[in-house]
Amino acid sequence: MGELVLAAREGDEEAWRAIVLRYVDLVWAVARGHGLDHCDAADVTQTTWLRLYEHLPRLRDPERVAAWLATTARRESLRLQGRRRQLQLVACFESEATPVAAGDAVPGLSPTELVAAVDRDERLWLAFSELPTPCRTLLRALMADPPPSYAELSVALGMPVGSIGPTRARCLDRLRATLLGLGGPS
Amino acid sequence: MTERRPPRPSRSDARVVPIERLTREATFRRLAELARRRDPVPGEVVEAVTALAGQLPPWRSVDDELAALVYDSELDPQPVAGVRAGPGSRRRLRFEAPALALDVEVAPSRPRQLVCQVMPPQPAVLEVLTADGRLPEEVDDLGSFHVPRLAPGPVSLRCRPLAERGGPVATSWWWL
Repeated sequence: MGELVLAAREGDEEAWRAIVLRYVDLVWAVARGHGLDHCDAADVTQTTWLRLYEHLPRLRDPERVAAWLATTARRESLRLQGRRRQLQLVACFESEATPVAAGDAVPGLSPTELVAAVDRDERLWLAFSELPTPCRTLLRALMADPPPSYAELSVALGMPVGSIGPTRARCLDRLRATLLGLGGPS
Repeated sequence: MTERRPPRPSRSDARVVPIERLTREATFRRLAELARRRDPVPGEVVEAVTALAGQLPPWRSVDDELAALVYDSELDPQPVAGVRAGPGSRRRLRFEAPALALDVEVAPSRPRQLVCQVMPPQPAVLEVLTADGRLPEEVDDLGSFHVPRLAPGPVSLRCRPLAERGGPVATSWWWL
């Protein structure tokens, strides 16, 4: 990754593109994990990458670009959080996440199985979105594609590396406990 | 474990592991999969970010001094000392370099209108850099500039004082 950053610094557009494709979902995940809606998360994502672009020549440790991005995304998210959005950087897409299309779960499911799978996923996603903010922030960032390392997240979220694993486990257990409490078709 | 048994036609949900039986790690994997499907970063955002490298001119000249953004009315509710109050609907920004500051007001029209004041007021040249290139230089004895038509997008302002001392100052890129 360090070499890509150095190449991008020299004006290599393909190198820049590669960095973007690798980490854009992480930046998005950090913003979404802070509870920002689509429009605010789009703002934060673009602002974060603009900051990286202008910061490239001065980036002290190119190997740590993921941590730098996640940290900047968190800072920008906290600045925007709870504030009325006024910026319109690019056209904003109001549509929230679309429901899971039938057949997403496993190919070849029977109609009854599909109903069960979609129902389960809806409940899972709802329970996740209702987690307390610290849990949602951490889990959503870990769900980025590709996922960040604990070391990178530790810098970005200001958590000791050693506490990320246990916190992740606690948050997932909390989510499962909520789901069991919610009940559902048996 | 239900998932290890061969599918049984008599039980319709055999291949869908019920929520109660998802392990901690299976729960996380399912959530991550849902995030990929339901909450991907919008393609338009990826395009805008990817295009930055090709759109923006190379970084500011090494001779330019960087004027950092110190205030943006859309991000900071409380104005910092010294920033002029403007009409409520206008976005106000301040960029500061050791030698001078730039106070900027943006009218929310489309295309954007921009008013820029060099502080302290002094004869200066202003150049506006955008993703589409640079606008012709403007000169003003009091360092007061009006840019009537600018498309929303990344922008950087470059200001050169006409006094004998003082080199050019360029703002960081910001979204107009």
